Amino acid sequence: MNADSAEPSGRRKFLATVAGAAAAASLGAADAGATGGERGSKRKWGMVIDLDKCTGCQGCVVACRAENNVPMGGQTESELDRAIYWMDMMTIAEGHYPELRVQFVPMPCNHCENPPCIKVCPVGATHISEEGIVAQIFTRCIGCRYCTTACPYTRRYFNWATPAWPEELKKTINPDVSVRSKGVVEKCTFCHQRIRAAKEKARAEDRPLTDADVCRLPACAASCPADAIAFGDLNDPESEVSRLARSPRALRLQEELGTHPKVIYLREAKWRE
Amino acid sequence: MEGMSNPAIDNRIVATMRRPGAGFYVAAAALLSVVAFGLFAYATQLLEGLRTTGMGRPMYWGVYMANFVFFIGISHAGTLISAILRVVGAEWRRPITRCAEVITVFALIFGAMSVIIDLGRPDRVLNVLQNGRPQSPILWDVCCISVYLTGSLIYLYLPLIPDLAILRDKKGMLAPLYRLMSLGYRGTPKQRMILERAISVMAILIIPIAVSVHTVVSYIFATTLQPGWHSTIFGPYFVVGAIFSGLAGLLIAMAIIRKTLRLEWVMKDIHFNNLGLVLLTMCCLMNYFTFNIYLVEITGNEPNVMTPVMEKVSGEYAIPFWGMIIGGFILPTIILAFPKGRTVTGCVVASVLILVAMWLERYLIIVPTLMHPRMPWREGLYAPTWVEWGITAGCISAFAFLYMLFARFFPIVSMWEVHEGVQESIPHVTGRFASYMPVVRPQPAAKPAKPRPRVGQYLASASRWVVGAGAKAGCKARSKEIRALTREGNGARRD
Amino acid sequence: MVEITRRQTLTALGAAGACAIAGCSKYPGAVPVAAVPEGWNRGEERWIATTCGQCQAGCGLRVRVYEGRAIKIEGNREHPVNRGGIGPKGQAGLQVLYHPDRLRGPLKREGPRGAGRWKPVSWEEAIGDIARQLAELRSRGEPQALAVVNGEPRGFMTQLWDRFLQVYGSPNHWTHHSAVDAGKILAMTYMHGVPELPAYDWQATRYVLGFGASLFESWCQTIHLMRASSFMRRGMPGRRVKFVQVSPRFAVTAAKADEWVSIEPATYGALALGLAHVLVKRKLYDEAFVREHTFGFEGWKDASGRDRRGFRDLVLEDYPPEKVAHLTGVPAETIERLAEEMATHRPAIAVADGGAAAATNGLGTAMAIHALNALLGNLERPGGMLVQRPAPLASWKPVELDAIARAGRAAPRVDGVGTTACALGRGFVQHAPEAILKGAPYPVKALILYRSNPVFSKPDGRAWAEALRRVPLVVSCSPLPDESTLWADYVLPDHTVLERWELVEPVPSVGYPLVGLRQPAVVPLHDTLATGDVVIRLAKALGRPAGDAFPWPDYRAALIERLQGLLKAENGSIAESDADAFVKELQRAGAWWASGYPFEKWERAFPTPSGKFEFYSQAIASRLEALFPDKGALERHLKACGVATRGDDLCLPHWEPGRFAGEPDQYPFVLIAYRAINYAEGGVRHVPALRELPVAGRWS
Repeated sequence: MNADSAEPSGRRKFLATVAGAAAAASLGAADAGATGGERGSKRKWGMVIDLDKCTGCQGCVVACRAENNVPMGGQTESELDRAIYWMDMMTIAEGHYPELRVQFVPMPCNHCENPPCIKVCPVGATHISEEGIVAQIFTRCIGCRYCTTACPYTRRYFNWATPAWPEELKKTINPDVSVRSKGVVEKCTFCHQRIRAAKEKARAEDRPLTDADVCRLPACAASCPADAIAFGDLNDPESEVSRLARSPRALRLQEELGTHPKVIYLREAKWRE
Repeated sequence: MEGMSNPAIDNRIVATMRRPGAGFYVAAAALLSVVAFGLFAYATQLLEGLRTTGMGRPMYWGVYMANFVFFIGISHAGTLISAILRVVGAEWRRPITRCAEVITVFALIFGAMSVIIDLGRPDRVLNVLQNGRPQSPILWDVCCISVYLTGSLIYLYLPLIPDLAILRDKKGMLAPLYRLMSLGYRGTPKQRMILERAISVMAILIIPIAVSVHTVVSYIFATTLQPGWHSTIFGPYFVVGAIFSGLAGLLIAMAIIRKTLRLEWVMKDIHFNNLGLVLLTMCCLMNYFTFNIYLVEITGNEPNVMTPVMEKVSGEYAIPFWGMIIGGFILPTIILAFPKGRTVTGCVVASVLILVAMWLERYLIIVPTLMHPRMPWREGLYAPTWVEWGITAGCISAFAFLYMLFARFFPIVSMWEVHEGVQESIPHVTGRFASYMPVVRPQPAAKPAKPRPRVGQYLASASRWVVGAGAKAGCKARSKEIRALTREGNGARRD
Repeated sequence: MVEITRRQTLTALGAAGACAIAGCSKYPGAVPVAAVPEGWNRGEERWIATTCGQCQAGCGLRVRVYEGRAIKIEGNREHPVNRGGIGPKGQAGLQVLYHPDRLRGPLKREGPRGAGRWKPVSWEEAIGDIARQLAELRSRGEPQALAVVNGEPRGFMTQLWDRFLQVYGSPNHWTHHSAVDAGKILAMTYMHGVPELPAYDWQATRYVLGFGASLFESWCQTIHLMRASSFMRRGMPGRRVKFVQVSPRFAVTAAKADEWVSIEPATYGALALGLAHVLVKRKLYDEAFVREHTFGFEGWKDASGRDRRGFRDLVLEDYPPEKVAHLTGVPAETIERLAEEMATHRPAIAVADGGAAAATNGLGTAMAIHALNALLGNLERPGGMLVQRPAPLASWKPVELDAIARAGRAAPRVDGVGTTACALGRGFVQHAPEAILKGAPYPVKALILYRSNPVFSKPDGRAWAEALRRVPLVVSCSPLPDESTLWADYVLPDHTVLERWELVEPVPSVGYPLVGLRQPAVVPLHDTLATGDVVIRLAKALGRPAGDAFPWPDYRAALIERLQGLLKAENGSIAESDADAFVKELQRAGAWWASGYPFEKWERAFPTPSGKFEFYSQAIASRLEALFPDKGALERHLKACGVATRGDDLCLPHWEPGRFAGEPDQYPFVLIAYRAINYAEGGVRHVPALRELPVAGRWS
């Protein structure tokens, strides 16, 4: 934590040199840079998704895949459910015609406070950062897929083949996010590279990181046309996520499992006279 | 064995190693070609990644994990059974311990290999040592399996030493190897005492290790929150299942050995009968556990748990599920319950049914649960690909081939233990029987000729109950065993 | 680094043999560490503001460009249309830009049509060849034989094509309108006097009734609407706007609505008129508005003293709820309730969709839905329906036509617009293949496809393919090979959205004037040319007089000329009056707008013959009179077309049963064409990110 503030310029220079290719591996370091000025108050990143606002457009899905260098699955692999969506859109359909109800649920990793995935990893390739981000160390993962199996939300993804892009589409690769290899597990990181960038920007401007800096920070939240996704510090009672999380519509998926997800959903509502 | 001297026994057993017929080569060629196909399949998988399998999301585990549990289960055939029989002093064990112990070693190797085959990055498997997290059940498995494998190898090797010495003395092409391996064993009383003590210590040690292995295998599933896996019964259920499938595997191996190596004179019908009785006990236990699991799950009616259960009971997996229950659990119970069913043929039929059912059982633990995770998910279908089947077939064939090879180079029947049985078991057993009876008049001569290790004795009485537990059949079997042994004993004495 | 040591360890182990290592070491190679292009520093990134072009909503974008590579598209937070939100289509723009199949440069056909054998040529050669052939056509006195199929029916490219066709002398500028949302525009034209789609004041409305309007999937302002719906539901504490969706198909929009009303296909008009019946009968409508600002509600006497039917009589006599319930399958109680809800939650909006009007009864249906808005008095009022105010852009110098051009322009249009074949429509692109194949009224000898792939995206693609084969010269401007390009003689690949200059006046959404700037985010990847430049070069190559109408060096210059008007505009978002500073700021902000909608400007709200909103459209009446001077002709025409409606009802919102192809007992089902959010009229169907959307791909 201190190492970072001790020589910020050095670190920044290092990052610039590496051009971010090693970004994922330096997750821990990124979070260490976290608190910068206001040390002591620990952050707990969380996300609130308002299902009433969400229209199921899946802009978040495309944004996430573009931001995080998730390769396209292709037809065959997609049909076998091997395409990777760190942010997925799930449909829950109930009833029979004409009494139908379909809900659209954007599903990122829930970043549980008590994550079942971390407990089972044999090599410590997945861990929870000080600020509550459940992350994956791609270079350590052995691909046993125990975490994917243990996740009660099925929100972890496996690289069944070497991620590949047509030569030209490689140009769209984001230099801030490492490209994964075949045979490792990957998952949503709450766009930690953006959090890191926001922190560095705030530090460069010599000011604390504010809620406004992060509220629409992750790629999914930034793109959402309906502003249904909010991001921020759940430990800060004034942040938008904390305010929304106090809503009576708030729910967490499968709370009964004791995983304490940090992705909070606001229930869909219908018009009442 | 009637009318046979020690050297005669040795010669007949050694002869099984020295005469590989055409059948051996045909079988070896057939098995090796399947192994080659399996290697090709694995090479494909390595090059292209696990996309060559039928797995996907949420079906993250498939045939390989089923194979893993299955092979680890089979591995319980040998060492555990041999150790229990040794500890309880069941004299009929002598001709079958070796072939049981070999199963353990090879099955464990392929069990561990199945996991590595399943890895996305097998090149990083050593990360488990470098970065191992003791909290992960996989690490528990790594520990238990490696300990069990080491233990089993020692436990296979120790009783092999006197036989290696016999082979060394017979001279032959491989004599130098046998000399090296026999560690200068000459059968002096001191050597013999050390060896026997070591074997008894290993026999006792190996039992909890074996139990732990399959328990932690079950923990891989039971410690997760997945519906249908998160169950306290999984540990004992897996152990019982392992012994169950292991016995079946052993019976099949014995039947094949007996037939191909013409060992009917040492592996007798009584062995099949006795093992059949143990298997029957396991059948009953399996039925009991299975009933328990499904009754509790169904009456609990927890929606997440019910989805995979109903898929098995009346859904997509109904055919394999009911096939497993009826064909693999109930039918063998019926076959083995009757003395006429416990013939060689009866035992083999029951065992084959059991093996298939137990593989399906593992498949049905893994697949329907993963198919229906807690979050609602699109219905998918898991169909293993040729790569998965190829690797599975390759593993099974490689297992069979290695087993064959072992029988070619090492005696598959423990020669010295058979000698020992022929010479010592009669006084020993009669003494033991006498000790159970009320003392009518003092009979100092009938005391056990040589007291067994004290702990062993204690365990023996406990295990005797275990082995004989459960059914009237068991009691009947015991008295039959006594009769049989006495008859043999009488015969030997006449000799 | 860790990778390598591990791999070495493994090599030492040799566990799984060489192939294991080969298999495991295959690594995608992270970021392409290509040479940094000129003008860029290593690690440098810029954000370019531009305007999306994947559909016509004109959302503002900010493109993240890293070392010259466009790597991410984000929404522009300042842009009034989308305020930072951006949907899947917009973000997939990168995959269009870097699509591996993009054409590398102009191509000339080699071998027979459709063989797919091409020869790369230079732009000079291609444009010269085409110009030569067009000049020859023109010199033969048949400039009308040139047709342009324009898949982007609005904006400056349309004006440029129009200008080109004017000086060249062809009336045949066909747009895709008639296959998309023409019904709605026609209803606006004939009742409102404005040939434009409506805009809506979502911020202040209290009730929305959608007639098959796929608001959250493929409406023309989907992203704007998602933002609006978010506000309507959760933006006003304690208040929620009710959204009722009427549609035969339970799609995403229906699922997200507060209520879904299932209806028989092609009966929206009947339902709208049934609702009008209830509103009128129970006096729930806005009487003051109807009295003061509408025409044709009550019956009236025309100049000749004949009694004309009014809208009131039509709905009261013909559309009682019980009858409508029978026609539409919507229960009478629901009709009564919906009407009452709309009346008591004013301002309420009735929204039609292009799809709702896509039936043989489309115009009447669109008019009936539009009439509901007038009945509820929500036109030009807060919370109601708005008319998009145009931006005060300077116009190009008018063109002067020579004799050949005038003669050519006087020829009838091949697609039948303005003739009895297309009496009321503004375009009839569906009719084009048949007309081309028949060679009537005259043969088409040259065809240019701009952002259009009719063989794929228009009804009866096979007829289109056949028609294209019949045309001697076919030019496609598609940046990607497609089904129509296959039949072309020349392919002049266009820039993609992220490579070109453009001014965008988006589909109406905010109501007030708005111009989006589209500027290149990256230098063009291939030897492509913006079609605007192609048109200018083509005109210049044709020489006088065509060249004179295009005095600009390139399309960008033509656009900048028009920006002049904005400099002087009042309350514009860019205060700079200096041209350079203005352009610089426009390039930063990505758009210019003048916020604040002037409500209730009644004097110029309805440029119709009566100056009011017309329930009875006098424009339709006069148009029919002009085309069918005697009564018998109209009767014959209607009969031939199978139209059941007669008399005054033709000019009023009305409904008649839709006619479907095939015998009902043989084909009991009706195909309802719909678009999921990932497809824009077939245009971006080849983009992998959109094909892999988890819901749209699987859920239908």
